[in-house]
Amino acid sequence: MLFAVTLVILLTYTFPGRSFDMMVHSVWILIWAVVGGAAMVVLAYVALQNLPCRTVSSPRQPLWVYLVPGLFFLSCLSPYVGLKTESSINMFSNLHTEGGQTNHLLFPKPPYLFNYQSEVVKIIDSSEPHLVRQSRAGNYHVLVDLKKQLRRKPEAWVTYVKDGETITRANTSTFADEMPNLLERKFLMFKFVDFSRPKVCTH
Amino acid sequence: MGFILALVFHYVIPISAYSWYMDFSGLVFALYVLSIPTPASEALYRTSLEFTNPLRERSAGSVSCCRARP
Repeated sequence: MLFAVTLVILLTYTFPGRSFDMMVHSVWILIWAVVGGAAMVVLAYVALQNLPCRTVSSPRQPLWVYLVPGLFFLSCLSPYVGLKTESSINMFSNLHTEGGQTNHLLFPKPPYLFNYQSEVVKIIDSSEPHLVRQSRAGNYHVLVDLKKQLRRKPEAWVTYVKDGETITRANTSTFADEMPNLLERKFLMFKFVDFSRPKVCTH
Repeated sequence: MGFILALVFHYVIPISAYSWYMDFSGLVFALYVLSIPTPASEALYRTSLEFTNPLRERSAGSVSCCRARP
């Protein structure tokens, strides 16, 4: 790790202008290149040593173990049923399920069971520069996610357009009765909404 | 063959400045370790020990050497 940090610092001095986040990312990429590479080589080696593979049936697992893949399945299903779109299995995909629209091959409208993704807003102005930056990059926001951000920072405000109506300088007090509860805050995470087509694959 | 292709795939995808997949790939590698057949798992354990034991002995040697100094 020390070697990776030293190398990245040296490269940053040689090629200035990189952000701190990119430096941290680079350190982790270098560590992964070594540790992940070693793991890959060792796993491939032992797999080849074990050829031909003789599968031995494992003893029956207790029923509670199946709760783990069950929860994983539910988590992966969440974009379709109107729950979270981040931390689901749509990585590397350009799946769009927000705002009542979808680009899914099999169904023309997302089969929502919940309405969290239905309310999508376009930010016009905000006290938070990152929100304005994200909006200017062409992104929309899920309203629940915006409420979460405003809740975390009570002095922040945001002006946005929702269904053609402009809401000016909305803040925590604007949503006082509609703030997400604890479960919603902890489990519902949303990607930025991108209505452009063809949609770029993002995580 | 599929297993080795999967290993290479999950090794390569985190090496990108545009995404952060080493956590996911690390999880996938851990799941592979947990789900490989017992003989392969034993071979993995033996191979890991062959690599780590000399390091551990060298580390223990340097510590005892330092402690032995007045």
